[in-house]
Amino acid sequence: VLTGTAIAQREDARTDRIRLLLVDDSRDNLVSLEATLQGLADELVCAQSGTEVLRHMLENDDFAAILLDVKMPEMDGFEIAELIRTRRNARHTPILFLTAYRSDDHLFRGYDLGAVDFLFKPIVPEILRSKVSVFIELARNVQMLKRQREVSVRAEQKFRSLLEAAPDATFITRADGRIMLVNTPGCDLFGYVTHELLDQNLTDLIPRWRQGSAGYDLVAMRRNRTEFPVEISQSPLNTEEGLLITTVVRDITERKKAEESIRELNAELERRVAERTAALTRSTEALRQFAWAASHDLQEPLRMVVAYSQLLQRKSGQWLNESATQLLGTIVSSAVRMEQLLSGLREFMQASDQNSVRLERVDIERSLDRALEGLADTIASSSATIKRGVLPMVIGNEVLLAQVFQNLISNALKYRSERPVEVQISAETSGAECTFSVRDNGIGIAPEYHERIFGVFKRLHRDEYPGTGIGLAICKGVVERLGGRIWVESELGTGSDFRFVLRAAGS
Amino acid sequence: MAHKKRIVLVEDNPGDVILVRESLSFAGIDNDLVCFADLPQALDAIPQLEGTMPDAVLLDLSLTRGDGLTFLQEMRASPALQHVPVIVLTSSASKADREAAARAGANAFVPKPTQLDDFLDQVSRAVKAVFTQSAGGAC
Repeated sequence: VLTGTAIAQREDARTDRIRLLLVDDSRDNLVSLEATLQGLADELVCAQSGTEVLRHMLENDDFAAILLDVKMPEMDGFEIAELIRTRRNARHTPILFLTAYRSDDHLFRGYDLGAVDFLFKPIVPEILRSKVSVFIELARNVQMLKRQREVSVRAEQKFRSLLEAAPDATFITRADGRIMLVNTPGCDLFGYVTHELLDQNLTDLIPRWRQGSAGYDLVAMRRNRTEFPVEISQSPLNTEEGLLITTVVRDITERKKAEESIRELNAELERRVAERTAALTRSTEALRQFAWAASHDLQEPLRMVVAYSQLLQRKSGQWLNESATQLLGTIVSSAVRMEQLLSGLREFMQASDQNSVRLERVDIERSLDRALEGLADTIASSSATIKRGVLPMVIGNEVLLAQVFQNLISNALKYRSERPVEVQISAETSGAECTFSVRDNGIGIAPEYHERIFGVFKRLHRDEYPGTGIGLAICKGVVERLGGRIWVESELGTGSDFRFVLRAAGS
Repeated sequence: MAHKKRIVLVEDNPGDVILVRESLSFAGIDNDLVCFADLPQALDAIPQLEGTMPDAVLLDLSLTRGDGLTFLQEMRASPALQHVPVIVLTSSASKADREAAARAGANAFVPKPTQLDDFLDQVSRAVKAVFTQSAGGAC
């Protein structure tokens, strides 16, 4: 299978060859003609009869010149010339008649058939060579011109098919905007047929745009005067006809629509998020109020349970046996425990209440002082060593932060190991953040509990250690309320390092 | 010793009424306890109280039908009752409540403790204290 280009190349090769057709019924004459013309043409084709000429012609009738003997048996030179002239390609091929007789009749007939010359036998080789070489030169020139024309025609065809194949509306204009060429998408986009657009100015199609200005957000006008949004891009092209500009016009109606709908969607999304957030805030607040009221109101009946169990014990103690006294004791201790949980819950809610916190520059050393003061007895009784580093100023709340320290340190004292208790409080500042560390050498916490311990009422050691399970939840509530975060780094048996980050107060 | 102490209790929780009675007997105070179970009742009784002149008033702050402080303010506005000692009882022991009670003219402020022993102890102590004070003032 040959591609178009390959076929063209083969045709080039064929037409490139300069061929001469030599016709004479005498084999000897042909041989001497061949010898005379040796080297002039690329190919010498010989024929001894009209039939042979015809056969060659059918094969390839492209000859630079034909040398034709007039006197031949069967079909004479003139008859063969007539035959040759029926071939389209050979209609203008120069024919040189070779004849032995000078006859006016021959001359007229020959010229009538388009002969370019007569050569009289005996042939003078130099004359023959020089005459034939003129035709060959001519043929070469014609061939070259033809090739050049073909090249330029092909280039133009290529260019036009490229232009046509371009998916975008494309215009070739002069520097002043006058349209020289336009492709079908260009015509379709504006609703014209090609010839209506030629010689119009591109600025007539895009009224508010001036040559050389930015090509974004333009408005174009169709033939029916309707408008649509476009974007154009241009590239200059220097040609022998002067500066030409290729302008690609892109209809951006769809894109604009898409952008608009994205904007609408975004706005809608934001509105919904705001709505949901508000709803969530309302329900969180409602829940919070409910929890607050519940924890408050549950306290009253609990107080009664405790007081009345104890009253019963007090008044009727002498009639109760030991087991009844024990049962009563369990009622009391359970109720007391529940009361502690409720008050812990309230404490947690107060600590983590997003509203009503005053953020200020805090000397966190003072929070630590407060915490240590509150724990003085426990520290003394557990003979703990408290080491404190220098702590920076932060943005926060002194009282709330004292609570954080108090809860963390009291945990450190409570969950101690066999080792003498050591608690180290330190801080480091990095950029706008301060990281605080309360590190102990206690029993430590297994990794799977590192998150869970910050939950409300989450306790790891229900039985061995007293407590409500609210202390760390309060720490988390406070730190988050102050815009920070808290976590623990710990290993079982080694100790725990509770760390929290707060905003630095700067200098 | 003189007459039984005339003590007024404004309290809507019957459980606490019994606990207050217990506290008074625990304190060994011979008393006539007059109870009002809600605020309107107590306010209505003010003219009558002006006649009988109680020795002390125990006042619960968080009443279901109103703020106990209203009663305290009414008492303090009455020339007859303005010096009667008032002990405020409350289950919410916030600082704000304590301050508000002090401003309204309460003589003592007792958060209701959970444990019976604490309750008996604190209430009886507060009552004894106001009697000691007013006795001292009479001398």
